[in-house]
Parts: sequence; structure tokens; C-alpha cells
Amino acid sequence: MSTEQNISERYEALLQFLYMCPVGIVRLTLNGNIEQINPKATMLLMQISAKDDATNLFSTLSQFAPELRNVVSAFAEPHGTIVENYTIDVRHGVARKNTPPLVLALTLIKVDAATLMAVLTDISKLAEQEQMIRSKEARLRAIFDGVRDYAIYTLDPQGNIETWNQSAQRVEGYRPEEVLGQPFGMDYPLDAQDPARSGYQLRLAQQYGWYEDEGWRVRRDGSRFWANSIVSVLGRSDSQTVDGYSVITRDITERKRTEDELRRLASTDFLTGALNRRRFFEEAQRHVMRATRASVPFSLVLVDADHFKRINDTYGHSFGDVVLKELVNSCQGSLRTEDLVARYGGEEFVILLPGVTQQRALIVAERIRAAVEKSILVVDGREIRYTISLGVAQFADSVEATLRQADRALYLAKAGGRNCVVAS
Amino acid sequence: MSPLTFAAPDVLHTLVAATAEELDSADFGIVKMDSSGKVVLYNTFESKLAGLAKNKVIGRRFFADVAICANNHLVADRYEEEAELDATIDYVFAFEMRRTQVQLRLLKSADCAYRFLLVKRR
Repeated sequence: MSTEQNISERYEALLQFLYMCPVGIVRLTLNGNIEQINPKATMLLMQISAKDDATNLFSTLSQFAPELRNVVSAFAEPHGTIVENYTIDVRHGVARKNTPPLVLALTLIKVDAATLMAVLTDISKLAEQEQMIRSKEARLRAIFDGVRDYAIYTLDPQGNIETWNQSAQRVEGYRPEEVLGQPFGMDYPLDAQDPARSGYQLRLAQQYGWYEDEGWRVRRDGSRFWANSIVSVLGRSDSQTVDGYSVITRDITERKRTEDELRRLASTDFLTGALNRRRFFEEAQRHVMRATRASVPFSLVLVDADHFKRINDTYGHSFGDVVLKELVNSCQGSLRTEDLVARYGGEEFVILLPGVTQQRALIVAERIRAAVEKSILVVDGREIRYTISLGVAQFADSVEATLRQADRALYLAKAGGRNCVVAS
Repeated sequence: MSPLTFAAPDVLHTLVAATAEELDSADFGIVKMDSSGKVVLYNTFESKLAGLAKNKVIGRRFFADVAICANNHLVADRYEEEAELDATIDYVFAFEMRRTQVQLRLLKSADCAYRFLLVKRR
């Protein structure tokens, strides 16, 4: 076999290998332009943007992960992993119909000053199972993780503390003689001490064999810790009567702090601090349940910066970023604490107003519009004003349908000259 | 009978009747598959476009093993879901890891044992 033949055969084998590769691989420039791409990645990106304009990865994903571009530009190292298995949820696109649910995991690696490698994996099935696994995991962890520092004590059948050992004294500070005979729940904060609640917890433990609870506990010296408690029933399994209960209380303050921080990072947009899409849809789902079960209305407002492309083109992307941050600030300044602001797309935001009808949502939206119109941004000594258009819709049927309504209203607001509010 | 061109109406019957030499002389890619999606014929044009020899492709499941880029609801699933299929769509292939804009024609008919995919560069 001649060398030339040999080389072409080897090339072909390599090609075939890359064609068959079951994960998406993309080589990009630092600003996201696609240089090389394998078939699996092409297939996944075509599902997101069938307009086949997927020449830039960040633009293609911007509707679902608008923060990506910022995360990359904020990465100052000469090389290294920028994000690893970053979840991109394409399940709730309103733009295109008939798209099967798709959840992607994206890993981005900076190879050198000019090159990024991206790995795209379809984790749709995984995401479906995630919810189930997460709840099981939490239970297992509660039982096995960090059992070094726990208080274990027992209650009599009436729910009063019967034994109190050294571990309990170490964690909570009380000596046995101070707590024996006290009711279960005596270490809860005063505003959470409630005989009815304690009784309810013990009844649940009786019914299911055990009961788990997380919340604040108060030590003898008045300091608080975040605790996980598991109450188990003591008694022969064949008997109907309860001999008492065992309680294991663990101090998980540190873990809670880390979890809260992780949750905040995982649920907010990198640039603006608004909620990200994934979290928005989770929250919206909760309100859908309230709306359908308890007939509590809620409204959605889609907010879009007017002529944002012109702002970007005239003043540069970093200026555009400032506008988006300020836009979120202006929204939050006009909203209640229970209202939610989420980044919905590139320069598009969605506001969820719990308990608010369309009529009232219109008033809120108008307040935000007026606040933005009045505001003046100063960047690098330059003053700029900008405006927003808003589309309002009250929840009906589904989140997606309501978003489509709000989107249509937003379109009318844009068509009607911008800087205005339209209701669906 | 229709001429053997990418856009000819009713080209399916022409494709079925054509010899391998005729299919090889076409100036667009032709993939002939059996009813299970396995490649029966892979013409010269397509072979050059993809950089793959015919014998590496023939007998393989086309969308599952060779052209993964079209293994989704936009292309591959349509062959399974639609009994009669003659659709032309703009798409993107990753020939030799380069984004390549193509036009695809998806062909399938209940009275024909074979399915065809036609590929043209845009």
C-alpha cells in the first residue's frame, strides 16, 4: 500500500470516528464564532435554531443562556475550563412549535487566547430523572452525611423529652436537668414554638415511621443554628402503641449557607442578577399551581429595551451591559419583594406579578416604563437615555400560552412606536 | 419520466428506475435507504462531499451512524412519522467538521420500498 493511500485511509477513519461521535464538539473563536463542528453538535444546534444561522454559538444559545457571553468575557485566565456541564434548558421556547424537549449540558474550555472548545451533551432524559433523584438524594444525605456532630435524644409517648445525652448537650448547650420533661420543640425559636405543630410532626412520624424537618434551632446561649431533625418512632413494629420517639438533630448551618449561595448562583443571570430562565419557569410553575388550585391570578410582563442593537452598535457591548443592569434595577425599584424579574432572552426580561390581574399589571408596567424613560445613564462621562416597550398578559391555560400573549402584546407595543405598554 | 435533477417533480420514480451509474453521474448527493434506514446506495457526489468511501457507508443506518447531524425531528424522524414525504428544506451538515449549508430533499412513498435523501450545497 502506498503512503498516500495509507494517509487517505487514516484520514477517512478519523472522519468516520468524528462523524459517529455521540457528543457534540465545537471549536470556536473567543467571541463564539464556530470554526469547526461535528455532526452531533450540528444536530443539536439545528434543533435550537432551525433557521440555520448558527454561525455563532453564543448568539444561537443567547435566548436560553444570555449570560454565557458575559461568563466567557469575564474569564481572565489564559486557558482553563470556563464552565463545566452548564445546564441550558431549551424546554420552554415560545418561538418555535413542535420542538421536542431539549436540555443541554455545555462545557467550555479556553484552549488559548483565540480558541475555545465546546462540548455539548443532550441531557434531556437525565433532566427528567433529576427531580426524582434529587429528592431521594436529599434524604440519603440527611441520614449518612456528616453524622459527626448530632444531638440524639428521646421523647416519651406524649412527646416530652425523656433522655438527653452528651451529644445533645454538646450541640444545644442544655444540661439534662434543664430539658427533661420539656415538650418536643422547646429548642425551636419562640415564634416557631407551637404545640399544635409539634403534635402534627409526631403524628406524621407515627404514621410513616419517621419525620424529617429542617429549620432554625436555638441553643441555650440564645445563638441559632440551622438544623436537620429526624424523628423516628420507637416501639415494636407489630404493636399499635408507641413507646416513644428518638430525635436526631444535626447542625447543618454551614451546608445551608453553601447551598443558599449555590442556589443563588445557579438561579440568577450572571450579568444582571435577575433570575435565569430555568429558575423563572420553576417559579412560574409554582404560581400556575396556585392559580389553578386556589384561583390566585398572576400576570406576566415582557420587557424589551428599545433599539438595543443601536445602543450596542453605537456605544459598544459593555455599554449595552450597563443598560441591561440598569433596566433590571429600574424594574426592581418599581416592584414588590414578591414580584420576580428574570432574564428571558438577550435584551428581553420577564416580570411575574403574583396575585395581580391584567388591569393592575398594566399600571405596574406603566410605572416601570415611566421610571426608565426618566432615568439617565452616565457611562464614561457620556449621558444616555433609553426606553423600553412592555407587553402584559394575565395567566391563562399555561405559562407558554401566556408568554405568547405577552409576546404578541410586546410586538404591538414595538409596532406602535415603542416606549409604551400594551396588554394582550 | 422526470429528469434526474434535484428539484424535478415526481423524481422518486426516476431515482428508483435509475442505474447506479446514472445516480453516480448526478451533480448532487443521493442517499438511497431501505425501509429500515440502512444505506443501499451512496452516490459519488455525496461520497466526495462527506469524504467517506462508499463501502464505509453502505449497509449502515444512515441517520444513526453516518449523518448524525440530521438525526432529529427535523429530518430523520420525518421518515418514520410520515407515510408520504417529499419535502425540501434548508439545513446544515458538518462535512469534514465544517458548517456546510445544504438543501435537503426528503423522499418517501408508500408504493416504494426505498427512501431517498437528496443533498445539494447552497
